[in-house]
This record gives sequence, structure tokens and C-alpha cells, in this order.
Amino acid sequence: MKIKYLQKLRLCIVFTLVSWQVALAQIKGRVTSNEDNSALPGVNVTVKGTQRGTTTNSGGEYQIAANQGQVLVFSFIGFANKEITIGSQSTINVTLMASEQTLSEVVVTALNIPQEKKALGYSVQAVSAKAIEESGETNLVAALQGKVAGAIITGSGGAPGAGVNIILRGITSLSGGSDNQPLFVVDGIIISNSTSAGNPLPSAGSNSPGASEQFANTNRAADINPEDVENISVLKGPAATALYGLRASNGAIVITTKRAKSGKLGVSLNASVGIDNVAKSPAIQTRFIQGRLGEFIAEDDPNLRSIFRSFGPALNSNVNDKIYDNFRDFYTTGVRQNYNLTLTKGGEKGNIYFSAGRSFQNGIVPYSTFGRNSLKVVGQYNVSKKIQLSASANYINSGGNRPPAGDKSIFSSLSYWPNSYDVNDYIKPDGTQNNITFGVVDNPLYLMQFSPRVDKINRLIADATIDYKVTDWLTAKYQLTIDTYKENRDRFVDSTFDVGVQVKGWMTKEYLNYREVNSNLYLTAQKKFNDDWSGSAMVGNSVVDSEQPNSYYERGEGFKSPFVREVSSFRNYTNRPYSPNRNRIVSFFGDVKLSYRDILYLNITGRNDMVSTLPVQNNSFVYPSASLSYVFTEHFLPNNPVLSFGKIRASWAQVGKGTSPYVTSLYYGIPPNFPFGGTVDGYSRLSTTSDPNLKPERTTSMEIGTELRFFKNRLTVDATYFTMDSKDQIVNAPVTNASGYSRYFTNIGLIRNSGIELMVSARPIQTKNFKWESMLNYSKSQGTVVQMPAELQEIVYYDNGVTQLKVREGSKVGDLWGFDYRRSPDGQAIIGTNGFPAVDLTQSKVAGNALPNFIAGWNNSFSYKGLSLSFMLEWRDGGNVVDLAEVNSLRNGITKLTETRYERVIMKGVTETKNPDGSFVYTPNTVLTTLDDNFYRTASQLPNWQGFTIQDGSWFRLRSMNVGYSIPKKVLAKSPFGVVRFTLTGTNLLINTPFRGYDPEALSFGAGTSLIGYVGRNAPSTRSFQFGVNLSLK
Amino acid sequence: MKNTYKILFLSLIIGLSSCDKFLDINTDPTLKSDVTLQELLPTVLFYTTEASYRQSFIACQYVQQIGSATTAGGFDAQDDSENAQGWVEMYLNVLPHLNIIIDKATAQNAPAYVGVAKVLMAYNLGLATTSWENIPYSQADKKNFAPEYDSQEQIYTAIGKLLDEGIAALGQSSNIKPGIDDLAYNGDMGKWTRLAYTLKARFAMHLSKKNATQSANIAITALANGMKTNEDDFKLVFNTRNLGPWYSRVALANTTGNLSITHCATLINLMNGTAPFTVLDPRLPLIATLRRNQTVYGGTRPGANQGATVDFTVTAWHSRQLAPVQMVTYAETKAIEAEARFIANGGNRTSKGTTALGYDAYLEIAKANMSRLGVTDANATKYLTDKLVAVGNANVTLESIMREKYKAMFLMGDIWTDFRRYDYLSLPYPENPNLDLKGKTIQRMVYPLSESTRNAAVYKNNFKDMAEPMWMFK
Repeated sequence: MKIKYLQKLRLCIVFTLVSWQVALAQIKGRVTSNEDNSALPGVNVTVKGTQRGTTTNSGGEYQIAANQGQVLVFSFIGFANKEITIGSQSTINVTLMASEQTLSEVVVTALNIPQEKKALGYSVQAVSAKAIEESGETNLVAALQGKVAGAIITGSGGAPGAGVNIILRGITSLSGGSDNQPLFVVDGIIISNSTSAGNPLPSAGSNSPGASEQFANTNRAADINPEDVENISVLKGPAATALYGLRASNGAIVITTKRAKSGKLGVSLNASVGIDNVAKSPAIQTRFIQGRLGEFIAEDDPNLRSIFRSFGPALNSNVNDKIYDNFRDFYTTGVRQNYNLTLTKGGEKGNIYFSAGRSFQNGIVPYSTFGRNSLKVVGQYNVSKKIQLSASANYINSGGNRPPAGDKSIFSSLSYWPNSYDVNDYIKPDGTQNNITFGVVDNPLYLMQFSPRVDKINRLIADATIDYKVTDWLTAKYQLTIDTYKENRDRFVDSTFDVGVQVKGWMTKEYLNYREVNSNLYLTAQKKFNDDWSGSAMVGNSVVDSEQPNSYYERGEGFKSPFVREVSSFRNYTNRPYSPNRNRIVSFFGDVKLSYRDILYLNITGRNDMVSTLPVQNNSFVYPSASLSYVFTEHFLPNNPVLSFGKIRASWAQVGKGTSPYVTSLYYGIPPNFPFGGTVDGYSRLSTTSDPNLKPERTTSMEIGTELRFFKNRLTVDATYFTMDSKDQIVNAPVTNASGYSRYFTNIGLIRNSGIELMVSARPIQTKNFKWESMLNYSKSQGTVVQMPAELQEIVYYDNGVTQLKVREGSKVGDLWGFDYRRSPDGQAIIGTNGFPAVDLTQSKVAGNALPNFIAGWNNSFSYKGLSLSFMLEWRDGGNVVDLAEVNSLRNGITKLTETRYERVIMKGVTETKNPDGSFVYTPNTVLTTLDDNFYRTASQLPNWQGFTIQDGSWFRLRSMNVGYSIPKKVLAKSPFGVVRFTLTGTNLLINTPFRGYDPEALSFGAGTSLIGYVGRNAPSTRSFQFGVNLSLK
Repeated sequence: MKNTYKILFLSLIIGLSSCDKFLDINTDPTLKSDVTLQELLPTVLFYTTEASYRQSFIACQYVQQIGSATTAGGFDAQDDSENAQGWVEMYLNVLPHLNIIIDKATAQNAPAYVGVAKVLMAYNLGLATTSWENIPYSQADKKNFAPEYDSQEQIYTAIGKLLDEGIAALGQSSNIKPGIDDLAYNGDMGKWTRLAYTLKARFAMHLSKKNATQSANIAITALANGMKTNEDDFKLVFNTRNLGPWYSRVALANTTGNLSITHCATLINLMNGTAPFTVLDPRLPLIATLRRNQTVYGGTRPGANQGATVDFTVTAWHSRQLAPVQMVTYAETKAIEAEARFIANGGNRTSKGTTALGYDAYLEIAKANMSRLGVTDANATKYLTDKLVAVGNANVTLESIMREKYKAMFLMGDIWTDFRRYDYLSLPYPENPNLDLKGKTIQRMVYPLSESTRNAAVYKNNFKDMAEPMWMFK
């Protein structure tokens, strides 16, 4: 069940100098799990109060020298510690109780070092394989939703393979393109979780605000097969991630994968199939058909372009008319399949794990697909008692057909599609597009069928590790890791499509490569000073070499003979390299731990990073951390019947951060449109420059927390308060173009994030057959821009003309700005002579914030014998969103909002009259007016008003529900099966939100973005049902 | 044990000492760290063209050659404009590269490139200062993040100096000369010199409000060496790979409903034979295409977004695939001359009559432009001999010169300076006008938002109301 080399590290920590005693007896035995009676290899067995210890072999067996009356301590990750006093017997078989919430819970910390949770001076949250499985998600990051206090996890829509964004403890980097996501580590291998937007746009003809909105690109951590995962440790703050240094300045997701459980061949097979549907769609008006001002206007009148306006007569005036709910009917039922085979085998000399997984999804957008094939092999070989070798290789092949999103996409077209017409009537008998809009927008279905982006990735994640027990108090470990992939992306757009017409058709082919090699060396020494004090010290070195070699894109524009789908069949051929972004980091680090009995634990770390990306004089930087855990119950209140356990923890940590590669030099590149005419070369100076004295940025974090357990651990409360000051941020600051540059990498400002995280877990009912476990996560945090440089008033991340995501000094991170109605001094809307209020477009003001006030997840699981039920409720309070598509449906009279029309109304507000002396008087409005097309269409009335543009994106949802049934062991006794389990999983079963569009949880600008708060022009999220079978052979 | 420490210590030392070299990889191999003159000139010419297009797109709406096809109360209603992209072209894509060319060419003793760059700098400074008045120049492109702006007076002084130095440099013999990298003139230094003299005349007339006669005399003197034929036109010709902006962004975009602009009634009514100028202009069907089922040429009423029966299409002269973007033309040169001679002859806004040379120049405006557009000789002659056009030198007025200039400089934004010099002449006040103008006319573009947020103090010092005339027009 547990990883062998982890266990070795674990051993490092508890291993102590042997003090020889006389007349020791040999005790032996076997350790098994209470869950399935399987043998547990790698369990630490120590003699209490001595430095003697061993671990169980792959058959779960151990042998140790000990005296009668001494106490053996058995400890293992995920299981309760067990202490047994040695009597006269020489064989002691032990069954360990699996539990996620025990006093001596062991969690994986930085560098995959397992530690007792009570010893930690900072907050770490573990997520088990079971919780991941119950989520029903194939994207590992999505599987964490609701399970981690302090994590804001937001998807980028329901397209198969869509990226998912995760932010721990808020946004700390202000730069527009900065990735605020945590570091991902799988069994000590740092893996890429980047989301690459690439270059999917033509050279002209797109109004897209950026490549990242065009396809919901996959975040690369989604390549990890969740079935391989044993558990995930979420390290939230700089204290927890101090040993990872700069790359984990936004936290770390430390993933431990499964290993061989026992000596004999283990075979298990999982299969599941499921269906997906649109979770929620915008409500439409169902009363009026095409036309203007209540009149029907012929659809082929190009001057009026009235085809888009559903402001015509009422439906009942003509029996042939019909209203179509295109926002729902466009989508189909998606189908997903997931298969996984695992083989494991262990023995005296080592163990091996093999898995093969395949998941494939046909999305709710017709013709959209995503598949992932994964092969994984992990082996461990014990060369001698002192030397252990292990290696792993994970090959992943993934990719699919991605639906175009954003500007001129399926979803923008759909938002315009008049509901008098069926969007699915899309193709003529000759195969050409049946486009009722005369080419103004494309039929979304036709666009998807003939112009998806097709991508394919081949990836290898591998490592080789050697563990060497130098002496009984000193161990060494060396690990070499690699993560590399090749991705190809193609898109063909013919010249009839809206986004292709201005360049007469185009095609892009992208070749994105990535390679990162990490070398890690650790030396660990253990020392027990006396009965009360013990400690350990570790020094280490790591070297990172990361690059995107030979990456480039090809683009052809102007389709020509022979009219084949190759870039060679285009008049204008462009081939441009992508920057290889090569960067290296050399680090040295040390870690000292000191503990006093089971009461006080102190941990001090220091790290020196040297980076290739900063100027030489500033490229080496050192930062420390210190954390303390004080188990006060052990000190003052041992064996208290109410408060079983209580500790206070505190930590202080710093972490530095480098910058992007190459920013410190000046370059010339080939601008678009060159070579001119295909023959004349042209270069232009890049408009980004940097401070020649660029310094590393520094985040200083302080965290205090407590963990209290009541009633014999039946109720646990864990609370954390943190502050994080990010200072000297390296910001790619926008500067006046008159400087000769548009952006300047410099150190500026101070952002302060603070927040609380609360975890409550309880086991309200626990009997032999029936168990109820409940777990609540709650977090609330906010970031404030404390300081900005005088020459920079604001940083605008995104401006869509009517709303802005930007920060100024003193503002909150995530603030959304909008435009309000003109208002009287006492705040009432000023009504014009036309009877309507008018939006004041001269001054934008804060109208919301894209980050939630708080998020909470509440998971409950019940089990009765082989039957289990669990469900996850999630609540996100606040978090405003701007729906980029809704305005199209509003202005064209499609949404439900516009169903209120042709009514005589008196708008609430005041009228303004100017006195002869120049002052104004305000009187309650009495102008009677009519709500017609103009109210919904005129920019200054409704469409641009912040009350319309910026919506409340709060939601409450039943994130997942899982029912499982295991066939009783007795029934299986005569079968070859050890486990037969059936599961039914539903996700997104209920959503309650005031938001008018699709599910607000679908970032337009994809994963890895800081452009939060914008939704609506991408595939909506889905509701799914899956049925699964898990089998394992005896 | 001691050995272990030794090994550890040693590896640390080795690690640290080789570190600097190991980390020295921070140079992007896919980009160049230096470039040649020949690699910079095409870029500058391309972006000079872009900047000209951006300025024309707005300025030509202010003077009602074109109008918005999407909204009432747009730029044709004198709505305020930042022309933010024009600012970007000027300060990121043109000015820095010209500075680099001048420095490099001086160092390499290539006066031909120095001359070309200085003429281009003068042209672009003119484009910018007539848009925004005070602009960054002497402190621009110096990695100064709060550069002061130069006053318009200083800019005009700088322009004069640049043109004089440019002409001098173009006259020197140069071992290194532009060739195919000169996208405008293919290395013809004579054409560059004639452009420089025409520009001297253009900029002199810009300041006619200061001293009309002096401006006129400077212009006349300069034009002795100015452009001589349509072949001297300063323009960029696009191709099947590089699509011109009026083609790609206007005409092609029109075909998918991404509407932007169409022709304005003010211009169309000067050409379609209706009042106030009842001569049918043979250029009309070449520059505007009737919409489906339309037979009568009509433009959008200024500010109304109503009334247009025509569009920019891929068959119209200015928006066809291989159309050039015209920046300074021979026709404009003749218009400058016609106006200068009219003024030098003692003419003013209400007077009539010019010299024989002035009258010839006046007639040459339309003749040259019609020849450029491919109007048949017969049609051109018919127009040029119409009694409303061939008024005789005694009856030429400033209005008649400006009317011809207005038509010949279709989609060339410098025409906006002429209208500002003469209080917008007889242009109708637009419908749905920009209320912030309070009944006045627009005199400037507003500085881009990027300046107000990134160079705030300097921006504030230079900010002026958009109805406030520039120094040059006072």
C-alpha cells in the first residue's frame, strides 16, 4: 500500500543511534491492514525509548531484537500507530487500523518526507485516493474541489480535457501573465502543470483579447492518471514548502502514487462508463420571434440585419413559428469511459507496480473529444541492506478535438443565434454550411465539425533513485527526474468562416516541446540526544534544467490550389520559433528538526537558490523558515476525556522568486507581416525591457494555527490564520510607450494576503457496521495591494470596454470595475427625458470582486458493511463574474431578461433640473416610458450598466455523490475475486446560483491565468453520471 | 565519516565554482541581439504606414470623408479618439527604429540611410503632433519612464531641422544605399529628396495661421524641388501576402458583418452631381461600391449612421487587395502649391483669383488624382472642363482649392489639418454630436489612456480640452 522509498525516508527520521543492550530476544511477526487483511510492507517498527528499529518486508514481516517489557511501536502512513508491550511471546502479529484522522497521523511533507502531523508547525492537508475516486473527475486538479481549505479551484468549462486552475491562499503575483498556481510534485518528480495558450489566431480578422480564451487548454497535471494516486498532500504556505524553494512560492501539491502492496501478484481492474449533459443553461424568452419593435422583418433584409433580433411579434400570431432553446439543444449527451488495469508484485528483493489506464470522452459539444492513455511502471530493487534502487516511468498520450472558444467561436456564435431558428439545422445537402446569418457569424455546429483544433501530446515522466544507508545514523538519497513532452496542435479554418475570411482561410500547426531534468541529493543525519530530546539534520542540493526546445508554429494563410489541408496549400507561409525559455536553478538547502518528547517540535530550514534568469549580481538568494509545534495537551492535559489532543503551531517563512527567462536582455524579433511580400526581411526591437538591477521577489509569511481533537478524536477542529507579504514583486509593468518600451520588468509594490482556514472533521456515528464521517473545509482570504510605485497608477489585466479587472494602490486583488448610472448626490439614478437612466461611461468604479468571500466544502460519507454513500456539498459565496456572451443574447432579445417588453413603466430614480444659479434640483421621476428593443440594445441603458455586466457568481452545489457496494467477502470466497465493488457517481448534480448564464465556474481565459472573473464564451460545465466496477483478483 | 564530510564539502565547492557558467544561459537563441540597417528600414516603413492608416481612419471621419457604419454619434460626429494604436506604432515601432538607423548609419558612414531616416522621422513627428499637439520626442525612447513632452513649437523646429539635415544627407554620396529594403522608393534617393521638399511645404502650410504669406513663400520655394509626378507618391503597396488595412480590416470585414466605416454623405454629395457641387465626379464609382439593389450614390449622414447606399468593397480602388496606403502624393503637392500661390497672390478665405501658375496647380490636383485612380482621359477631361471646375484663374477661391484637395486626399488624414486651419470650412455640424465639445469642433485627439495611467503627471500638464485649438492653429 505504501511506497517503499518513502518508508526509507520515514525510517531516516525515526532512526536513531543504536545503544547496545544485552540479552535481547528476537521478536518477529506480520503486520496487516484492518481494511482487507493484506500484508503491509514498509511499516516502521521501533522499540520505544531506544534507537532500534526496522521495517516490514514486502510480505509485511519484520524481525527485531527487544526485551520483554519493552514496547514495540508500529507506525505507517495513513494508519494509527500501535504500541504493544512485549510479553513472553516471540511472535507478534499486528493489525493496523487504517484511518485518515488519528492522533499519530502521518502526512507527506516537502521533498516527500513523511512526518507525523502533530510535529508540524504549519498546515498541511491530505486528500486520500478514496476522496479522489469519489469525485468522479479525470482531471486530478478538479478532483480536489471542495476538499482543500484555502484552495480556489476553478475549471475552464465543460469541454473534454479543459484545464482547471488552482490557487492556494490567494494571488501573490500581480503580473498579468503570471501563474499563481502551486508546484506539482509526483513521487519527488517536479512535473509541469502549465497551460499553454500557443498561437491559435490568424494574423488579421480576430478581435480576440488573447490566445488563452480560444481553447480551454489542458493544464498538464491532468496527464496524471488519478487511478495511480495513493494520496495528495497540499502544502499551502511558504513554511510548508520552504524546502522546495522558489518554485513552490504559491504552495505545492505533493502527489504520492500507489506501490505494490504485498508479495503476491496483485491484479485489479477498474472500468467505468458515464454520460455528461449541460449542467445549467441560460433561460431564454419563449414569447417573441424574430423582428424589430414588435414587427416581423424579412430575414433576408441585409440592411437591417434583423435576423439577429428576436424583438418581433408574439409567438402565437403564426402557427408555423417556433422557439428553439439553442442554449440547451445545441449540446448533446457526452459519453465517457475509463478503464484501468493494475498489476503489482513484491518480494524480498523488491517490488514492482504496473498500470495501464485509458479514459476517453466525447464531449457535450458535438464532435469534441479528449482521450488519455497512460502506462506506468515503478520498480524497486534492494541491492543490499544498505542500498536500494528504484525507478519509475510514466508514459502518457493524450489529446482530442477542442471546440473553439472566445471571439468568433462556437460559443460567441451561439450567444447570437436567434431563437426563432434551430441551430442544429446547420448543413445543406451539398455539405456546405446552412448559415442563416449571411456569414456574420458561423453556425456553431458546422464550425465545430469542420474546424476544431486537434491536439496530441506524448509525455514521459520518469525517475531513478538510489537510497544509501551510509551508517546507522546517516543516509543519502539521490534522485534524477525527467518530465518531457511533445505536443502537436493543428487547426484548419477555411475562408468561409468568420475568423478566416479576412486572411482568406488559414491553418496553424504548433509544435510545443518541453523538457525538465532535476537532480536531487539529500543527506540526512539522525540523533537522539537523550530520552527527551532528539533531532535530525538534512542538507541537500538540487539542480533544475528546464526548457521548451525546438518549439515553433507554422501558419499558412490564403488557401490555394491544390486545396489540401496542409500549410503548404496556403499562399502566405510563416514559420516562427517559440522561445525555448531555458532556465536553470541550482539550490542548496538544509533542514534541522528538534523535538522534546511528544510536546515540542522545532523545525528550521534555510535555502539558497541560484537562478539563471536574474542578473548575475542578484541571482543568488537565501531565505529561512522556522516553525514550531507545541502539543499542549501532552504537557498539561494528558488523557483528558474531552480534549484528547491539542496543539498550537506557529511558523514564519520567507521564499524568494526569480523571473521569466531572457527578460534581462534586449532582442530583435520578426514582427507580424514579415518578411514583407515573402521576400523582404524586417526586424523590430522587442518592446519589453528590464531593470538592470532586477532583484528576486520575496514573500514573507506568518502562520498560526491550532489543532484540537475532542472525544477520543471523534471531533477534530483545525484552524489556521495566515498573512503573506509579497514584496519587491517582479512585475512586468506596463510603462509609457514614449520610453521606447511597453513593458518593464521591475521590482515593485507590496501585496498582502491574509486569511483563515478551518477544517472540522467528525465521526458522529461509528459502530461495527455503520460509520458516518463528516468533513468540513472553510476558507476566507483576501489580498490587498498595499503599495504601488508612484509612476504606475494601475495595472489593468483585462478591459472588455465595459468592465475592467485591474488593481490600484489600496485596492483588493480581483476587483472588477464597471460603469454605473449617473446618480444624484444621494445615490439615486438620474432619469433622462426619454424616461431611462443613462450609464456614465466617463468614470469606472469598483463594482465587484472576482474572488469569493469564502468557500466551503462539506463532505459526508456513510458506510454500512459493504454499502457506502458519500456526497460533497460546496458553497462559494461571492466572487463576481462578467458573462462575455450574455450581452449578445440580451441585445438580440434572446434571454429571459428581455421577455419583459412593451410594458409601460416609470423607471425608479430622479429627474435633474438645473437652477438659474447653476445648482441642481432632483425630483422623483414620473416619466412614463416603454420598455422596448432600445432599452435592451442601447449601450448606455442596460448593456453597459455594471448592474447588468457584473453579476454575482456565488453558487451552492452538490458537487458529487457516490454510492458504492462491495460484494461481501463471504460471497466471493469461492470466486477468484478478492474485491468486487460497484460504484455510481454523479457530479454537479445540483447548482443553485443567482448567475444568469451557464455555470459560472468556467474561466474564459483558461487555467493558469490571472484573468479571473470572466466567463461565458466557452463550453459550459457538465453534469455527469458514471457507473463503475472495481475488481481485484485474490 | 570524515571522508563523507570531505566529499560533501568538496562537491559543494565544485558546485559553487562551476555555477556561474552553468547558469549563463539567459539568452534567447530564437531572437537576434543586433540587426542591420536593411532589416530595420522595412519595419519602419511598414509601421509608418500603419500609423498613417490609424490616423486616417479617425481624421477622415472628423472631416466627413467617411463615417461610422456601426453607430450613430461615432467619429463622424466628432467623438473623441485616443488613436491608442497610432501612439503605439509611433513610439514602439517607428521612433526607436529610426533612432537606431540614424545611429548605426552615422557610425557606418551611410548618409543615404541617415537621410531617409530623418525624413521619415519628420513625417512621423508631423503625424503625431497634428494628432496630439505636445508629444514626447527629445526625451522619448530613452528608457525614461516619465518623459516630458516637447511643445508643438519645439516639434516643428525639430521637423524643420530633420528635413534640412535629411536633404543634406540624401545629397551626399553613400556607399551603403537602400535597395529592396526601401519598400517605398526602392532606393531612389531622388524620390526621397522630392518627398522631403514636399514635406517642407506641407509643414510650412500647417503653420499658415501664424503667418500665411511667410508659410506660402516657404512652401513655394520648397516645391520647386518637390514631387513632380504621380510616380513620386509616398505610399506602401500591399501584396497577396501582406493585405492592406483598408482591404483586410474594412472591405473583407464587411463581408462578415464586422462593419466599421462607410463613405460619408459630405464627400459623396460633392461627387454624385447633387447640390452643393453638381458636377458628377468620375472617381465616384471607383472609390465607392453601390450596395445590393441600390442605384443612387449616397453616403452616411455625418453622425447619423443613416443614408449610406455604398460600401467599401474589394473592388473599390482604396480597399481592393493590392491597394496602397497613400501617405504623401503628387496630387497633394499640387494642392499645397495651389493654396500657397493663392495666398502669396494675396488671397484669403473670401477672396477670389490666383495666378496662372496657381490655377494650373489647382487643375492639376484632380488631374493627377484621376490619373492615379485610372479615370479615363475622356472622363477626366469632361470633369476638368466643366464650368464649375474650370472656373478660370480669376474665380478660384480657397474653397474650390480645398474641395479638390479634399477629394484628392481621400483617406489621407493630413486633410484634417487643413480643415482645422480653416475652422472646418463649410462642413455641416454632425448629428448626434459629441456633447463634450459644447457646439465647437474637435481640434485634437486625446492622449491614450496608457499615458494617463503610466505617465500621469506629464499627461496632466499637457492635457487640453479636445475643443481647444492647438498652438499651430492659433
